Amino acid sequence: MKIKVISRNPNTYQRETVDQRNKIVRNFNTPADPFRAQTEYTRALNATKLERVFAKPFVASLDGHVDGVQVLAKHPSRPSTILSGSRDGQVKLWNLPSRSCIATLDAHRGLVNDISVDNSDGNSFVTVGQDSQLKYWKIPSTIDNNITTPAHSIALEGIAYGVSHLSYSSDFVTCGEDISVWKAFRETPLRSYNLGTDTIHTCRANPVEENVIVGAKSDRSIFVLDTRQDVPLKKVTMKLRPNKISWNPIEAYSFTVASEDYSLYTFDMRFMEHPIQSHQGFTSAVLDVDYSPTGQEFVAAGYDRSIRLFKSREMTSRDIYYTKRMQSVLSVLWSADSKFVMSGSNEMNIRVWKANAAEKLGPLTKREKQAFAYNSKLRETYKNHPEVRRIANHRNVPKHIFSAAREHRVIRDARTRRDLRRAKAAGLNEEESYLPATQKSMLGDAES
Amino acid sequence: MAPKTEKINLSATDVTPASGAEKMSWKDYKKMKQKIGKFPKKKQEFKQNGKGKPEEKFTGLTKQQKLRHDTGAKTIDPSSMRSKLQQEKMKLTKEKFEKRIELTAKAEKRLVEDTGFLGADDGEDNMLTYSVRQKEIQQNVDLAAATKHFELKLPKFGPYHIDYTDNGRHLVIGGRKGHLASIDWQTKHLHCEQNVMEKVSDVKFLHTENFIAVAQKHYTYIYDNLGTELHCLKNMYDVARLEFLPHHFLLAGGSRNSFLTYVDVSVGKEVISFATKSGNLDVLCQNPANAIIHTGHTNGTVQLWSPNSKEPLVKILTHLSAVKGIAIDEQGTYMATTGLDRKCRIWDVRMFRQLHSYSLPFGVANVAISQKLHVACAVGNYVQVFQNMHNGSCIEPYLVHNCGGLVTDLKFVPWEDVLGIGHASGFTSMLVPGAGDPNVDTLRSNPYETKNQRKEREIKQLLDKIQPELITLNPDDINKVNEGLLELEEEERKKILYIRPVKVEYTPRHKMRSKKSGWQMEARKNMVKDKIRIERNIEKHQVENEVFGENQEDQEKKEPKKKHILDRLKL
Repeated sequence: MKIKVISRNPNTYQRETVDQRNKIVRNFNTPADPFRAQTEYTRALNATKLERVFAKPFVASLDGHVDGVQVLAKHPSRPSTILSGSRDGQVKLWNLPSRSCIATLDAHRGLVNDISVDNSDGNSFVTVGQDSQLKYWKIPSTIDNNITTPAHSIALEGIAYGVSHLSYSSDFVTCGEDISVWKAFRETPLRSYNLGTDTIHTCRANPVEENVIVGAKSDRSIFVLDTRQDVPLKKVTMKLRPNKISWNPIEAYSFTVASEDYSLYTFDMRFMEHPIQSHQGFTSAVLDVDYSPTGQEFVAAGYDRSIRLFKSREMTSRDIYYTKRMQSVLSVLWSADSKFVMSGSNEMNIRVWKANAAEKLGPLTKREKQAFAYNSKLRETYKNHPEVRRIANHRNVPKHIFSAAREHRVIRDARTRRDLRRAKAAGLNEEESYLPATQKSMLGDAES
Repeated sequence: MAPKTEKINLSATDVTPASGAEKMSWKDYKKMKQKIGKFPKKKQEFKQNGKGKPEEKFTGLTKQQKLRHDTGAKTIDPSSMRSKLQQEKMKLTKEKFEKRIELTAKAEKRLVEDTGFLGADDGEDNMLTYSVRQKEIQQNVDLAAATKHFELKLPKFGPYHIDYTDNGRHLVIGGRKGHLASIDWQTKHLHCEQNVMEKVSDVKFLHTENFIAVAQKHYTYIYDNLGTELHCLKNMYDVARLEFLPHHFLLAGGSRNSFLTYVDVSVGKEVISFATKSGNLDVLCQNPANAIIHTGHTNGTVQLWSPNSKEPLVKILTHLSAVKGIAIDEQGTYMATTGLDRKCRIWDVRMFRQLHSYSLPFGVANVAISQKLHVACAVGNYVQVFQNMHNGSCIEPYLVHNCGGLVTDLKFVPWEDVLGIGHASGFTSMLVPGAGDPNVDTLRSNPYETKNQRKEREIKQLLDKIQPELITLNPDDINKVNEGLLELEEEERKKILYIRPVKVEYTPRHKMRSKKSGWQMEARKNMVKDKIRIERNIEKHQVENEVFGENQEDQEKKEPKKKHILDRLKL
């Protein structure tokens, strides 16, 4: 008779002393766990809930300005330094890690209209103000309240509303009655472009293509200009005023426009007849926009006292930040390390927020990293399950935003119905008359 | 026209021409990359050695090791398919099978233990394994295994019900007369022993050995490993059988008054309790693969229950007389049922189809299935264990054992070659060589668990607790898209499009005699038009109500209905 009964040697399974680790014996031929799908779903649901629990985006508030923060600018080579200009003409330089003001300059009388830092070496910056002055400031290698007077200042003929350095260069452009290209320390511009009688209220130089500039005029038009040419390349007109523009730093051909009509529009420089994507969610005018250095996302400031974060090709925002005391936001900035966003608002504060609301700051252990990676993968995999989607997308918003959004929805629906009826009365069918939101925003007079 | 230039420059001093790089065709690009070495070349046929056959990859496996898992992949002949596409498909299938064989064989090489067996020596003729008594087995195996056969003679308090923990380490026995004991049966260490001074109908371990649920005369009680009463579950009244669903932390109890009760033991709340309206629920077991409760009834049916429906999910007519025992294997493939008609039937639970049926002696009662698919049946005072019942090749019992009392409960011990028998005169631990899976995956279930490991497992198990709403016949449903529902909705929507309000054309006949004025004529015309339109609208609304339900807002006001997670999967 042959016989054998399972008889295990406990030494194979148990540790010898308490100081050792417990032994793990695997059997890779065990059949799959029948509940693995449900267990994974449960974990995904829990991960989504935890993400919302830990979503505490507010990091710090930088106070010191005595008037609304009109403009924020980042330093191209020092990620920890940001610059801010307020409505009383003061410019402040901040150190983000210590959350302290490292320099205060009485730069202008009246508003500081725009600030731009030198792109070639980062050792200087230019401010323009409502007092028709252009001031040129040096940045010492260590800043400690040691900037007092501008290195150079120029009295302009008209007010300059915007200034932006060309990429990889210390040349810059200003906009106002016209567009002027300047070299540092020169009394007069290198070149000026007269684009008509309308004021140009914003301009931005492309961060990749050295000579391309986009700007917006008060006749609601957006133009693209090449500084090597005499006339603008392209010009299109929107139905409502574009407030600010930001280039996508990775896709050199696309930029996003913050518009007065509560939306943002992403344009492709090569096909400017209409935007390629509209971004909605604000319940009031959008005042500023800034791209993340990754080019995947951007942040926008709303007059409705909130800031929203968008994925660059998505219509709805992925998050909304607000606090009880934050008033209408005039300027936003996405930090150079892409981990934070800054917002400067009307009630004199600069607020620092996390770019990912639930992210844990500081060094992480290996196990923490693994757990976060696993959870984010789970959330990604199960994001379309109704329960997971509901939890992930839900945001509590202030009452004024909630009710305004509802009201706007009603208005929008009514307009859609009206348009349909009009088309029907005109004898058009539905498909012919349908216009997407991106095309509705344009006047349709594209020039090139 | 520009002169035709050589497009690819592969020298190290590759410079883009001043006129800008010319657009390269995909073919050229591929060629270039291949030359550089980034683009994988197509696998080249091995023709150098003249045989036209690629050399076999070294896998470290012998032919025999592979043969053990061969399911006939070599006989697949892709060239027998007609179309090229099918040939390619078949080739892929063949590769997949061959890969599977290799992987299984590789994994097997890492296993540390061997399966048990009982058989004749090489020289001997066929031997009757069921004539081997437990004593003989005990004498022929090693000392550690021999201690696994033992008997507890407790004739005063029987008959006994028993349960093992999931890792097979701990045993609880409960006698009808109130005797309750919890034992680490391998070391024979007694955790607790007491008499609850009440009738005990069933005992069950919860997720660890520290909690024991006991169905007593009136209520169900939960004791800890020292025998202290922790809870009294008054909503589980007069319970005949208990089951614990470890993934859901649900304690299910079938009572004699036909109520099936689910209690969530992690929060102590009753999930649902309902009358099954089908008599005494004293034959009850769970399907470990989908957490569905199976109940056997006197009319010969087996009914499948989930906490989400007060009606049985499935009713199977299994026997022509009362069902006496049900058991389901770990993978949820086979179900064994025994009935008063002296039959033991093997079912495929996934298809609810009978596979095999065997006739047994009179007095068949409980049944149990082991990890290696051995089936144990209680026949009066005897226990008969069968091998290969699931594939129909069973002609005689594998082992037979006389317990000396009517057998009331049977449980195979996971990861051991042991069958636990609760009977009228006590408890017997019977050796069944080859019944258990010898190789434990200690990450899933660990018989040598330390206290800290148990604590950690408890927390992990609680974090992964699956909600009772997710209990369905197929646990993979959660990852499926309900295509049927989508199609149905689309069709219904289309229907509405055809019932649009139609423009009503009506011109009243001109009657010479009528002396009605113009506006009177117009009013009459409008009246008729309105009438037709109203009829049409009513019809349209009716169809809309059928499709979308009544006006949705009204309905929500009436009863705010909570949406179930799995509702999206319903038709």
